Parts: sequence; C-alpha cells; structure tokens
Amino acid sequence: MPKTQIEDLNTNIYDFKNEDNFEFKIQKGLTKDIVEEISRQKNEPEWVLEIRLKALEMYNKLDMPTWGPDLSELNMDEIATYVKPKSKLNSDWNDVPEEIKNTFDKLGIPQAERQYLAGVGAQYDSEVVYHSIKEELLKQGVIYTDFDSAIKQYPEIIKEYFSKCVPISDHKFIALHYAVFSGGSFVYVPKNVKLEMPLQSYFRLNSPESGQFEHTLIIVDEGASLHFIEGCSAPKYNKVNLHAGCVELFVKENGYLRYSTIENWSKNMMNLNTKKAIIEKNGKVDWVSGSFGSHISMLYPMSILKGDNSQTEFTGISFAGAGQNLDTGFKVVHMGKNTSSVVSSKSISKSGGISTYRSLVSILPNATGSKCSVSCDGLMLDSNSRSDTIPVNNVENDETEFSHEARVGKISEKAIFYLMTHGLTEADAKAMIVRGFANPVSKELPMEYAVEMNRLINLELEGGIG
Amino acid sequence: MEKLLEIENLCTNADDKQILKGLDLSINSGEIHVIMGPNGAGKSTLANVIFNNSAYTKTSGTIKFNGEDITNLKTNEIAKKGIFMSFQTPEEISGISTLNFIKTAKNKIEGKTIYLPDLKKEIENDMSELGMKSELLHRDLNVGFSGGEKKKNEILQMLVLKPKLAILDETDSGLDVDAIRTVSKGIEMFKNDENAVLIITHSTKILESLKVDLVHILVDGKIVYTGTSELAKEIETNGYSKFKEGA
Amino acid sequence: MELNFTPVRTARNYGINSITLNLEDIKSAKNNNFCKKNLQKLENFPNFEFLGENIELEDNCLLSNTNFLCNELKDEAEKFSNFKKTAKIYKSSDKLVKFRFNLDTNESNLIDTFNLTIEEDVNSKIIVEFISKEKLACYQNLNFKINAKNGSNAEIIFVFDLFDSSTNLVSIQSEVEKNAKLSVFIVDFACKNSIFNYNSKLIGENSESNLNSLYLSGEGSTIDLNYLIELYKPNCKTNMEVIGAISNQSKKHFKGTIDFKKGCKKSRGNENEYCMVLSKNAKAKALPMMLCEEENVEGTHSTSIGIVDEKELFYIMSRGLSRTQAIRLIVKAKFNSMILSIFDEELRNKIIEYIDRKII
Repeated sequence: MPKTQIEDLNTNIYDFKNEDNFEFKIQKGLTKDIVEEISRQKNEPEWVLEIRLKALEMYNKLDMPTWGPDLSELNMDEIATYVKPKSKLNSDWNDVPEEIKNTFDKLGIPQAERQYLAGVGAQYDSEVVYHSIKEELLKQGVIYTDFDSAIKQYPEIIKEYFSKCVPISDHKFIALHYAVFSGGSFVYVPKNVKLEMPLQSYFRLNSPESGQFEHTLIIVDEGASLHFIEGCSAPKYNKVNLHAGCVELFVKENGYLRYSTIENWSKNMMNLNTKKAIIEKNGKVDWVSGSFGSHISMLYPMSILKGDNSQTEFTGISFAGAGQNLDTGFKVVHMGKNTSSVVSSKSISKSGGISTYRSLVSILPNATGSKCSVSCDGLMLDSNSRSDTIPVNNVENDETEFSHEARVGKISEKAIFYLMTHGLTEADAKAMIVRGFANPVSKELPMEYAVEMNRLINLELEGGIG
Repeated sequence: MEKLLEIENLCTNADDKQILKGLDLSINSGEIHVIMGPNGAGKSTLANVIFNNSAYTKTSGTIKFNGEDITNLKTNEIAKKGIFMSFQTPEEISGISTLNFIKTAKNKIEGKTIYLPDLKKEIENDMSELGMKSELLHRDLNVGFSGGEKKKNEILQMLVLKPKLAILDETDSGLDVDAIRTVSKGIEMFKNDENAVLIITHSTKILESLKVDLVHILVDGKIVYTGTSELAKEIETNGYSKFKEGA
Repeated sequence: MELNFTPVRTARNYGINSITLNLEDIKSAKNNNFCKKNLQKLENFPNFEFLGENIELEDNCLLSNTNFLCNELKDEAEKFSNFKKTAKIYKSSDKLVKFRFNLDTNESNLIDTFNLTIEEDVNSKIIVEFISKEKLACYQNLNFKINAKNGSNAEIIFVFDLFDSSTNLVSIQSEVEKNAKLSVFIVDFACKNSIFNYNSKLIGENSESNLNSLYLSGEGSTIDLNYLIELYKPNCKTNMEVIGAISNQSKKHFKGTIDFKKGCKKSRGNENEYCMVLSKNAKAKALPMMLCEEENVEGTHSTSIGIVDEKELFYIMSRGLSRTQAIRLIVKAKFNSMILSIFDEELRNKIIEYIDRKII
C-alpha cells in the first residue's frame, strides 16, 4: 500500500505581512548604546536601565549553550531588538490604527474578547497596542496591564518581584532578554479572587529581522485563581527572527494558575523563551503547551514546588515538520514536603522535523513524601525525521515516589486497518489517530482554542472536529 | 435472492508463508454462513484478505461483491461497498471518543453527514438493546473496555453502519454465556432478507439461537466440506480430525 | 578528569553529562608506581585463571580497543597495560568458560585489554570475574571487546567484587553480527568509584543485544553507569534491564540510551531501570535516553525509584523479623527475577549472600 502524506501544518492563516511600518526601529545589533537608546525611547526609571546594563554585561560573559539545537544561524548583529509600532497603548479597539487592528481581527482576538475572555492584551512588535479588562474585575482589585505601565504605576510591586523568579544570570538568552525587554503583561489577582474567565495576551511580531522580548509577570495571591492564555504568531520571512520572552509566575498559598500557550511562530523564528513558576504552600500551577511553529525552539517551562503540598501538572505537545527543530520539555524542582508533579508530553515528527523532549525532575532532600510521574510519547510519521527523549531525573531522598516512562514509534498499522474497515481512507485514519494522540492537550484548552489547535493540525475529517 | 459475495480460487501469503490455498466461497443475500476450522487453518486470514489488509499478499484468485470485482480495492472502499468486519481484538484508539468514531465511520460510509442528534438517538437505542452503558460513547474508543464491552461495541457498529455483509471474526471468543446471547441477539436484530452474515468461529455456542444456512469447514487454507447446521453439531462432538484426513 | 560522557549532551547544571574523578590523586594515594610522578610499566598481572574448552587464547591483543570512558584511559591501557589477551571461542560447548582475575597485595592494579570473539554459530556461556579478597584498594582500567559473529549465541556475565575503597573503570564494547544474540550481564558489588561504560552495536540484521545490570552500593560508592545500544540494521532487538540498591552516602548516575539509527526498520528496543534508595543521604540520578531516526520501530523505556514501603516493612516485622532483616527480604524480592536469570548457581548465591552482608 503506498504511503499517504499527512499534511504539514497549515500556518497560512497566520502568514500575512503588513508593511514594516514603525515609529522607531533601533539599529541592528546589541551594544551598550543600543540598550541605553531603548531605555530612553521607553522613558523608563533609572533602576530599570541599571538592570538592563547589568544584564548586557552578563550576556557578554555567558557562553552559548553546549547542548541542544545548533544556534549558529542566530547573529545578534542582524537583529533589531526594539521596534516601536505606530500606535499608542489603547483600551478601545477602535482607537488602534487600522492596519494593526486588522491584524488582530484576522487572528480573532477582539471576537474572542467579546465572547469568552475577561481581559485582553495585544502586543505588536515591541510594544503593547491594546490592553483591556472587564470593569467588575477592576472593582475586585485585579490588575491586568501592559508591563511598561506596570513599571510606572506599581514600581514597588514590580521591584519586589521582577527577575526574582527568573534571575538575570539563568542563561545567556535570559540575560539578553533583560537587556532589551519590552512589552508583555502584568497580572495581579488579589487574595481569594477567582477569575471565571481567562485573560489572554497575544504577541504578534510583524517586523523582519527583529526580535520580541516581552516580559510577563503574574502574581496569584493567596486563595486566588486565574487562567492565563498566551498566543503568539508571526509572518514568515527569509531571515532569522528572534523571540526571547520571559514569564515569571508567583502563586501564593492555596493559589491556582493555569497557564496555556499556543505557540505558532513562523518557520524563521528562533524561539528561546524562558518560563518559570514559584509555587507556595498548597498552590498549584498547570501548564498547557502546544508548540507548532518556529524554526528552532528551546523551551522548558519550569515549576519550583517551594511550599509544602504544592502541585504542578504539565501537558504539552509539539509538532515538528520540515525545517523545524523543537527542543522542548519541562523542568520541576520539588523543594517542599508532599509536593507532586505530573508530566505528560507528546511529540510528532515528520518531513525531516526534529523533536526532542528534554526535561529535569529534581526531588531535593527535604521534599519527602513527594510524588512525580512522567510520561512521554514520540510519534514518528516518516524516517526522515527524528524523535529524541532526554529526561534527567534526580532523586535525593528515600521517601519519594517517582516513575518515568516513554515510548517512541509509528502509527500502528493495525489501528489504521481497523479504521479503514470502517470506511476511513488511509489519510483519514492516520489523521484521526494523530488527533487522538494530541487530544490530551486539546482537551485541556478552552473549547475555542481546542478547535484552533485542531485546525492547526490541519488533518480534518469530514463532519467536523473531534 | 442474489449473489452477494463470490470468492474464487483465493491464494494468499503472509510473510512468505502460504495461508489460503485456493479458497472458494459464495454467499447470497438473506443467508447466514459459518466458517469453522482448527487453529491456523486461515479463518481470520480470510476476513483480513477480503478487506485487502496489506499484511497479506494475494497470489491469485478474485473476490467479487454484488458482481463487482473488489479484489484490489482499498480497505476503506471495500467498507463503502457495504462490507463490515467485526474484529477478534478491536483496536484501542486513545483520544477519539466512541461516538465520534461511529459518527465519522457512518458519515464516511454513507457519503453524507447524518444529523448527529438523530444518529445518537439511534445508537443509544441499539446500545440499550445490547445492554451497553451509554457512557461508553464518551469514552475513548475501546480504551479500557472489558473484553465483552469491546465485542458488543463491534456489534453496535454493525447495527449502526448497516452493511450488506457482516463478517464476524471470532466475535464469540472469550465471552461468557450472557454476552454470547447478547451477540446473537444483535445478529438477529441486524439480519434481514437483503443482507448476509459470515460468522467465523471455532465454537458452536453462538450458533444455537441462530438460523444458519450453511457451515463450511476450513482446513489448511481450503474449504474442505460444506454442510448444514447439523455439521456444526457433529464437529462439536467429533472435532476436525475426520476433515483433516480428507484434506 | 572528565569521563563517561553521554552520547548526547544536556544542560550542564543537571550534572549528568559526564563524571569528574581525580585519577592522579587516586593513583598517588595508592602509592603505586604508575602514577604520573613515577611512570613505570607494571609487571605482568600474575593472578589470572582460566577454565573451559574450545578456546584459542593468545597472549597478546593486536586490536586496539576503544575506551568509551575517555581517551586518557585508552592511552594508559596502551602504555601501561599489564594484561593483554585475545580469546576466540571456536566451537560450542556445554562447559562454562571462566576467566578470573584475583587482585591482591601482589598486584592490586590491573590495566587490562581483552578481546573476545564468539565465532560463527557458536553457543557459549562465559563468566569473567574480578575479585579482591583482601582489604585493599584496587585500581582497574578494563578495556574489553566482544565480537559476536554471525549466528552466534553467547551469554557473558561480568562480576566485579573489588574491595570497597577501590576504583573500577570499566569499558566494555560489543559488536553483534547478523542473526547473533549476545546477552551481557554486569554484576557490580560497587566499590568507591564504580564507573561503567557498555557500548553495543547491532551491526547485522536480526541481531539481538541484551544487557542486564545489577549493582549494590558499598559504604559510599559513586556508581556511574553509561550504557548505549545502537541499532543499525532491520529487525534488531534489544532489552536493557538495570536494577540496583544504594545506601549510606552512595550516589548513582544511570545513563542508558537506546539509539535507533536510520535503517533499523522493524527493530524493537526496551529499557527499564529501577533503583532502590535505602538511605536518606543516598542520591539517584537517571537519564534514560531514547534517540530515534527511523519511523518503523517500537521503543519504550521506563525508570522508577523504589523506596521501602513502611506498611510492607511493618507487615514483615510483625512476623518476627528485625527491620534490617525485613529490608534485606524486600530487596531480595525486588531483585529476585533478575537474580534467577543468572545461569550460574554459585553466583546467584553470592549475590544473595552479599545482600545479607551489605544491608546492615
């Protein structure tokens, strides 16, 4: 039987370019002058510039990673780290310049806001162009604003938390981030406030040969609860674009945060993103992550289970097609007693795509009574591709339950035959199995995003989406 | 009564080993046929080969359905012609609900989109006849189903998909008496003058409550004897040795 | 010195890409004559015994084996080796083949290069033992190569029983040809530094390479296990089972990789690791890797940590056993199926006896 092709991900609906119209685009490269100029453009307090300069020094000192995908295509001299769009920050879509508004219309953001979001932030290149939150949440003391405004409006909180979860010295690209960061969101959910509807920030990089370095800082206070969604996309250019964002999450006692990401960067993007959560007593963070786009990704969200009884779950999928090297995974450090983590990771490799699951589970001496279970599945759709599993597990006490299991292989011939005896073509059958494979992630997403993800895995069956 | 399935001189290999060695079989609409035979005779191979499973290679012979040559059609096209196969070990597919699967199969086979609430109602009716819990519809296809639930799920699909020919491959194996009764009931519900059933089995339990037209004995890749339902009873008492000698 | 590198690197701060040992200090501390300060070739190793039939044994080793731990150890083996042998098993035999190395006050250093070939269609069972009965810090740098020729079927057990304060650096490599089956069993009564590398290449169709590895830590062992099975040809099969217990201040790093190379269609690989952590100061690291560039394969791995279940312990103690006896019983139960798979009864008993002796 000849092999049928499963289509590469159809990212066309994201691949529309606006002209590289900007109010200001900094010269390419990374120097002290450039960093100072960004700071001047942003008109920010002195202490922020100090952090930027310290970070730049760190960046120059730190080595490139000695592991993972080859990053030699990335040349910082060819990247403009700051592109200010022709728009101010608005709280009404009607005030957003038409071209930019159209972009977000096509991405479905204003519509999603009307239907099921409690607040929306939209970043275009280096600056946030729209931010809004429902009135009643404001009354409850919820803060959801762009990061630049937060620095000015809530300097004490920002100083207390900024770079305290992800330190400047973590790795070379986080140092880069702190040197040139711009945009992003700040969220504060006060004690015992539980948001029923999610907040969403969307990041769009339009400008070629540029980078996006947004900083997201979320504090979920005691007993509070939040679902935060992050979306990202970019049109495809021939030269390398860079994304080196940073996400810092603080979840206090009994707090809950669900952090969902659908990442669909264009295939010329280097996605070197850093996300970390610090979770206090009885708190919980659930990560849901879908990685579809980018040329190269190095993305390993991390949970620090600091407080006793804190918990985390990670559910992720990555789909590596032609020209993609997706090196993704999860890191968790168990520090508190009776902490628990559950990791479920799936990957699909096709048309020469490389997917790597890379992880760390570390259970420290004091984290007695902890539990961790990890499961990863790699699906190979042809023999031109690669699927690697590189999980490091470190257990430092004798009162821990730990298990890890992984599988790699192809779609079962028997399952394809079974489905074909029920009238499905071979392509339909494979598509159904692949969709089923991705289901643990899509079912964790809000309905609309699950639909979106299924569209992303453009493997539709007649009669709609599973 | 018209000819539904006609198989002539079918020979097949699997992993370079010849399994079917010139098999002939003809089934008319309105009939129930049974194929019995010792282990390794090629019973399950036959069902797979009718569906053109790529794990088997046909070296000669033809398979016709409704007068049309289906020997080399793709598996899904054969299903669309109106043939159904109940699997000995149904596949578990995670992430896809049973309802979604049946819906997709029904739409593919009918070539049109059936209004889901109507279809769901029909499925639930059939389920209650088969004593199946309707919650199974929302579970992943066959994942975590008991042996009996899986087999009933196959019969359910037969009832919903309404094929012209249903091939039941060892559907009764590993089932207790009550479950076998349910399966028989399902077959009775399905059966009419327009369609036909081919039961592949090594036991006679399932045949007790069904009106079987013909029983074929398959030994070493060939049908060596064909008789009425009395033949099944004889095999229950005497086994296959008599037919093996004849082969 | 950095040695025992994983086939693929990961983040440095995970501390598992390699292990660092100060070999010069280790050798100087033994006051031996082959440390850098006093370079001298060792006398030929005196205490080697050999049992068995249908073997051709030569006093040289023309082939130079790769040392998969690091190049420095290869250099050491080339310059200072005190034992070199080539062995060929040319005919099947029911009799066990045994090679035994006794390290004692006469010679507590062993730098050995050993090349073992199992000829075509030969079946053989082999035990290779390294023992020090005296309370003496030994040093070994082992370079062992196995060639399993077409259609051969061999089971080889390596037993390492060196005194607690020893340093044992082991590199074993194997190549398995068409239709051949090789099962290697590594039993390590771990000493201070127990550094193991096993590298097996399945270079023929329908070949099979299995590895069983069992270890028990000593007082304060560093156990670094780096096992790699590479599948190159269609229909290959591999199974890796690693089980062990660590106590006291011991630490264990397990790095196990199954690498499905392009072209190994219809191959299957499985890897299981289980480590019992018996003390709160013991540390267990594991990196069970699976690398895959071929679609039509089935690969699975699992790793887990075992702790002594208090309820189980209580139940056994309520039947009159002391806590220690109960822990011994539980460890033996966990190890049971692997111990039973050893063809040599004497060795089976030795392991059980060792568990009784070591868990106190």
